[in-house]
Amino acid sequence: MNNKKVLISAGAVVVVAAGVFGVAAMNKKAPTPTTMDSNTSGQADTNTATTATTPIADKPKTGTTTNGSSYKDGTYTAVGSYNSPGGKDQISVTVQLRNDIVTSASITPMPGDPTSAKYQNMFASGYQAYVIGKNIDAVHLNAVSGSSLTGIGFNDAITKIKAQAKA
Amino acid sequence: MSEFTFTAIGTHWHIQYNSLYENNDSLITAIKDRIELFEQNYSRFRGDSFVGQIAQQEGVYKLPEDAERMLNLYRRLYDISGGKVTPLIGSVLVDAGYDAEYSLIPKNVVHQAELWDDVMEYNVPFLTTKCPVQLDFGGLGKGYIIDIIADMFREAHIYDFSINAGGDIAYSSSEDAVFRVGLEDPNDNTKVIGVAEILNKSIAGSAGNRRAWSTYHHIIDPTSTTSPQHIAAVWVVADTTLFADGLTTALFFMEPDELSQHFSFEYAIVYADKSITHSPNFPGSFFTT
Repeated sequence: MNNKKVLISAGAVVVVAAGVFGVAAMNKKAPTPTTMDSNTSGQADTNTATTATTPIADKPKTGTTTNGSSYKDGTYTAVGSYNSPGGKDQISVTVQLRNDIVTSASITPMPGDPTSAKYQNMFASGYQAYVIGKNIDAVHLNAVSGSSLTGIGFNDAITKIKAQAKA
Repeated sequence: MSEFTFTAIGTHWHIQYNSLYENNDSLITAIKDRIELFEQNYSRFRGDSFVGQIAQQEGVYKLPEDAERMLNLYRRLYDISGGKVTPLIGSVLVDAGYDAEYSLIPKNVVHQAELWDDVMEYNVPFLTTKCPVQLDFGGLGKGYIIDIIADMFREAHIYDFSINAGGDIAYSSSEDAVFRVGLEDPNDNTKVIGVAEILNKSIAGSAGNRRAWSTYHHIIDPTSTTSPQHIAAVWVVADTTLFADGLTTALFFMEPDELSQHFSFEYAIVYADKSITHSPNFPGSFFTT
């Protein structure tokens, strides 16, 4: 399994953030609400600086908590701090949660020096995976789903139009 | 495993099945007849079809029995998508050039689709139209006829089959053997960008790359009258092919999170920049950078 495949699997994003920058507050094993904050509408509460050593009090679960889920659905933003050789740096991570699953994530670099800026930007652009095609023959398949086999009449028409255009 | 292929409703069919009986000719004939009946009712390209009649004259129409599930889903999708998913897209497709003659030449003015409640009233089993309306069942019809064929197999006590109509597939296995479906690269049809593994489910796919002409492809926004360009390809895995097909269409107009509040399904979306997003439990894997 290549690295980016892990990254596109929602839920792994936050772990990678922790792995790269050592932001303990973002560790998947301790994603308690103490590392996140949200307002009552579930919208992003920006500039909420959090670190592992300065937990924010757990908020009562009110409103539209889905059955059986541990966390309230919504958009959460947290700023993680870490020490780089260039001094203290911060990075902002926004995740959307639904039924305890991270459905999207975005990273906002907040670098303190050029070296950190370089690494933070590499990380921010790298968490989004892009597809690459493999030859159909190289993959064992029972069928293929896409659009190439649909629309016989349409394909015929295109063939005719191409022929007319050449005439 | 027996199999047969044929062409119907404008697409290639490939059906595989395991039967205890040696001769299944009558079932195969019945399947082809059933698809023919579906086309007689719903083809936008046949003047004598039910859809063709509605397009010519307003009135009170008794719907064919199989219209109910399609129109019910269309109405649900219409309501939650703010009218973007609509069977009334037919007139827009015709204006844009996707007409019975396949002219593929857009008219000078491509009109918006009419609003459902302005032009028709749907009360099972009747459809009352206030003016001629050009319906198009392309957003989910193929999925539904696949489900109908799947039911015919089950009624014949055949529980191992795959029904593939142009890449939309219903698959059933009594032995829990998964069916591997390559997800066609929207930029190169000799390649796949991932594999879905389905078992007793359906998959539908939609991409704007093939049936494309002028500035359009086969999915058009009924209000802007333009084709969405931000999505290169979409796949949905669901319990029925009707839902897989319909939700694939809906994902061109709605955020997956929003649609997930109303339906249970798995999805994968490849955007125009080749970035991919998928539901956490999508049954498959992707080839990525």
